[in-house]
Amino acid sequence: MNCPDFEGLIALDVEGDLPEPQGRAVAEHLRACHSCGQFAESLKVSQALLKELGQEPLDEQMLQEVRRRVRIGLANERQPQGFPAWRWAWGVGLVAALTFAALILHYHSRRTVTPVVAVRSAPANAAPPSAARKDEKRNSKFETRSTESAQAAGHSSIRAGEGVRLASTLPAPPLVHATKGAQHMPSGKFSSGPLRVSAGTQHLQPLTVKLITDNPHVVIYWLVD
Amino acid sequence: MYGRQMESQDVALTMTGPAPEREDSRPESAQALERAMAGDRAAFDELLHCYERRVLMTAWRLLGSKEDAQDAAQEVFLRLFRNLHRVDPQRPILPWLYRVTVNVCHDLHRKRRWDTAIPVEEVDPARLAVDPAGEMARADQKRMVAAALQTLTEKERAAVVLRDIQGLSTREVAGVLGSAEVTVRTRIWTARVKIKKFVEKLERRRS
Repeated sequence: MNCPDFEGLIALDVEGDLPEPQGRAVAEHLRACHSCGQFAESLKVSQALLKELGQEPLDEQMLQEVRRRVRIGLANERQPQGFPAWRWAWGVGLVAALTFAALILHYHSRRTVTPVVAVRSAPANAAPPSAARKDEKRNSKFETRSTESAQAAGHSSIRAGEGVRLASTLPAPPLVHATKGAQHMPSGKFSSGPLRVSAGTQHLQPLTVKLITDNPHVVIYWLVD
Repeated sequence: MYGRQMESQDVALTMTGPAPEREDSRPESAQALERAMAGDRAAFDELLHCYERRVLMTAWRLLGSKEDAQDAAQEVFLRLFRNLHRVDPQRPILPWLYRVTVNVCHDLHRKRRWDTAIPVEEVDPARLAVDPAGEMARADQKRMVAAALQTLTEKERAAVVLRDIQGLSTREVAGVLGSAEVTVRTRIWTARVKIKKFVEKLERRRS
């Protein structure tokens, strides 16, 4: 090690901050090197001055001013409790938001559509559009209701022949047109019109229900299991 | 300022380093702390009286201005009050106060956008000495050293103020600043050498 390497060690050694082996090495070097000895002496002087800075008396006025300011600050502060008020506010807000979100989700889950759907075209033995039009006149009273119901459900402009998606919450169809050969009436809720089950479909065959509205272009098929 | 700079609201008021055996280890100080935690304002006043000199002196030497030191000391004690519920009365509170003081001073530096280190060339020796032509009095020399402190970087200044002016050990300084002991030691010797060279340079310019 040469003298510049000892500079830092000497700066620590003057205040006894070096461990014993390094301190011994520095002491030996200081005995041998005159310039490093001078460096250490002047460091001791500046260190003594530095320490005296910490012993300078503080003005009592300065201290009183600090006390006065702190007391004013304390007057505006409440005694802090275990958990800061702003954190409580955040917690309560978060719980309220989660509850609200849960309620919204619950409400929507009850309203939304269960995807039961008949996405299929009319079966081969279903009534042709011309027959539908005849029935249309005969059941004009029901047609009106049907249109209102369909409009209320938002399905008033469905085109015939397209796949139709119906919500399960739609009211029972007031007008049902069935093709020839109806075997039985499967359930009381379809009693407002003639009903037919396709030939040979006694079990497990879906029942196709055709719903006619006053719009000749709108034919609604319901597939009932 | 430091990698592990502490926001007083987010850090528990306990120190991992060794506890300095100083005024805060007095039983009456611990009792005052417990009473202050229970909401006794008079006890908080006792704490204020007990620690104000150390906090103010540290802030003064870190900031170089008495007015700014008053601002810093006020903020330190208000932070102490806000965080009383987090204090562990079994442990000394002085290291925490030092740490908050260093951080508050750092915040003040940042807020006012001060340059951390003043170049030696910008210091006018004539302003430091009452009698530039004659033999420097001890007071003038101390003023020089105080000016030299402001030429250090913030980290060096914090280390040397806590070690040499407040008299903490290197290990305690490392605990307060949240730095490794080796790092603190390096900052301390760098600062001491800089101060010595600064004073010598000023003396040469004066002569």
